[in-house]
Amino acid sequence: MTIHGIMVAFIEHDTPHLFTRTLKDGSQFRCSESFVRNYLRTLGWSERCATRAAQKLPANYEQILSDAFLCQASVIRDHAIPVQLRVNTDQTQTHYQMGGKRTWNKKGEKQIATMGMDEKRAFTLVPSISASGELLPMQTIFFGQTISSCPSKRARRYSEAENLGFKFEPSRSHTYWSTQATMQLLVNDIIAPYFDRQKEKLGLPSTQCSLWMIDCWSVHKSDEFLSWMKDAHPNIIILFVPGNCTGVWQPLDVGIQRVLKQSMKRSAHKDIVEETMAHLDSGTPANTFKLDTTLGTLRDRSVAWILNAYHDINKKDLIQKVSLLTSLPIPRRTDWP
Amino acid sequence: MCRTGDFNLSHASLTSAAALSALRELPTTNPALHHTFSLGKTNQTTVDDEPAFPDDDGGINDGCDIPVDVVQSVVMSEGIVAKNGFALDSEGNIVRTGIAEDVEEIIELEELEVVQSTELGRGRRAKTGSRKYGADWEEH
Repeated sequence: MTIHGIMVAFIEHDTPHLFTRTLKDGSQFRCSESFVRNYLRTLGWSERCATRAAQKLPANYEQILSDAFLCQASVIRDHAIPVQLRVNTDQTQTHYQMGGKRTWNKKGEKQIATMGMDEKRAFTLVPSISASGELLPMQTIFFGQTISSCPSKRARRYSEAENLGFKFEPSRSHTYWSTQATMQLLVNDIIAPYFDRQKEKLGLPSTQCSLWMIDCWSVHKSDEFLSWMKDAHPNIIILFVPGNCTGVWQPLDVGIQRVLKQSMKRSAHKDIVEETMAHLDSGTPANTFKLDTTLGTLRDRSVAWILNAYHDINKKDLIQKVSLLTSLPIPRRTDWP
Repeated sequence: MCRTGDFNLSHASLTSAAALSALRELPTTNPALHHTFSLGKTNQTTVDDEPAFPDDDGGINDGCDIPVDVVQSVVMSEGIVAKNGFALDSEGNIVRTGIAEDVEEIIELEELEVVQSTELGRGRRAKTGSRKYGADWEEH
């Protein structure tokens, strides 16, 4: 993505007419990623991509999801849970230098340098949505031991994030992943207050149960976390997305994350273009300037990326739509063993 | 994206007559599951651990030249690309389709321009000026 941003900036600076000319089929050049890839190949570069096997659905996933559906339906029926009190949370990782899984090297080179893939150069974003179409404030977790590992208050739009209720947390661990402590903060600072506000709006008692759907990650499933939830938030019922079914049964995964990640990627890309343009406009020779890829700079920039993404996915129809995209056949008598 | 039937996680579906009927019939259709629910055990399908970060975007990699509203419309229309100039590739990524993204086309056009400016003389090539990369481009 960095190469892409630099190319866009150079074209914009040196040959901007390329972006305004309409070709015979009506299309206009946008220096797409496919163009960049093909162009780099013509220069003798080759792309390496770190791939991971796609999630494989369990063989009996339809039965598993039928059971999960009935389970959720029974909880809703038995506890009279209204739509506003159903929330799905899912953590996602974001690399500061997005596209870090892809690297470009001269053809034939044996040593492949990968940038942006270490533990420090990514953070965890924890979005939550309600079944009624509301987007909750997001928690973000940054690698490090203290609050200084999080974006600084000087970061662009930091106060907007604070006003929206976003939380910036240091992981206080050796990764940028959620931990027991950050999960508890998430519930105390974002999930439970949301449920409380909704109960108040709906005129429901504080003892009204709510439903929280999360995936079967080991921290979520741990006795420590579940015991803490039972003690601290006994009215929040946790339902797990069945293992290896998040791609079809987790509302956040079947559509929202794609839009969210696209928005973040475009924001990061725009920052690269603007920084490169600033160098070019100032007359810095092209072969001497260096983009600022220090952790502090990228971390501060991430605040605006997250906010842009928040506004891009904060659409009631989109959020409600993804619940419809989780789908399975109606269980019929003949389906049962 | 899996769409195989009639039930989904919308509130309308979870509280529908069909869902309630399936729950009512559960003691006969699936006594074991009914027994589990009646014990208050609601998370019986959690044998496998999920990785911390499953492929939460389905392994999709839309290029950063693809506007967010195009991605959103594809999600909303369940995989249909309605906007001209875009399509899905074989892996489900949204890509641009116009010849403007063809490397050879662009290089040829650029060479043509250079030849024309040489014929006109140095400095005669039309300059459109540098506009800040921003709103205009973002909308495409």
